Amino acid sequence: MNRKVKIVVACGAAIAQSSMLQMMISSYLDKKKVSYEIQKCTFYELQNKVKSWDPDFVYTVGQPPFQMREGLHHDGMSIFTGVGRDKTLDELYEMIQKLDK
Amino acid sequence: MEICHDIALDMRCVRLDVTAQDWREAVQKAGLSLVENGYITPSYLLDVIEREEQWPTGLPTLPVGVAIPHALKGDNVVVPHIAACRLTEPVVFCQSGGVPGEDDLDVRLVFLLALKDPREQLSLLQKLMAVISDEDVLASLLTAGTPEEFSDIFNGSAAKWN
Repeated sequence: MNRKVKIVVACGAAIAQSSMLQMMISSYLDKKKVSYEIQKCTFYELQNKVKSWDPDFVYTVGQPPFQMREGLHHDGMSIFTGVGRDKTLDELYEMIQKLDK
Repeated sequence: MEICHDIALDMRCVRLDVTAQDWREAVQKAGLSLVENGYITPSYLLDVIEREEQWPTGLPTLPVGVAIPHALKGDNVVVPHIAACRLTEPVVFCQSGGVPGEDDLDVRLVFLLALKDPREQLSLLQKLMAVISDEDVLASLLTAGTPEEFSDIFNGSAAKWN
């Protein structure tokens, strides 16, 4: 892909949980040699962030307080807890591959 | 990503076999060790409870649920650290991102985070992430016999995803 994949991670306060989500996703994408940019925000900031930055994917810990277009939002809880993490991360990789086309 | 080992869980901040009536009491009992050892001022615990009401931190980990309460601001943090509290009986926390009363979760392990700036405490968060997302590590924390053993397991666990 010619450009960087844009990912937003969000949680209630953008302190611990989104930072941890960011680490985990970054570490996975580094390993896969994917070029990406990742930004972190709170649920309050999320709607504006989606509008202004136009990310490819949004990962949250828990349900954000508004609806996003299909394919944009994904639940990051599994990445966080480790329960089902590999599947969620592999799905992200598959979706990134599809962005190429 | 490089794994740092600069902040280690202080065994004086580990409380085992604690009883609590509800999550508020669990937060207070977990945080007491941070107050006693000079990591936070008592006001920090009020900040944590206020935040937990608004943005709960329960996580549906296996084999037991975990909660990682922390405040929105680090004003009352003296030295960034973490406290661990193992509950004898599960206490109900709301799941992170969930609605209290609807998304309740039984929690046995509480990790209370006292952070100033999360960007500066990434190593601590990395270690915590490695611990909470590893079933085997959580299981061994449940059976650790002493605070020393508990903190050794915690500090010895490195990220497996790298």
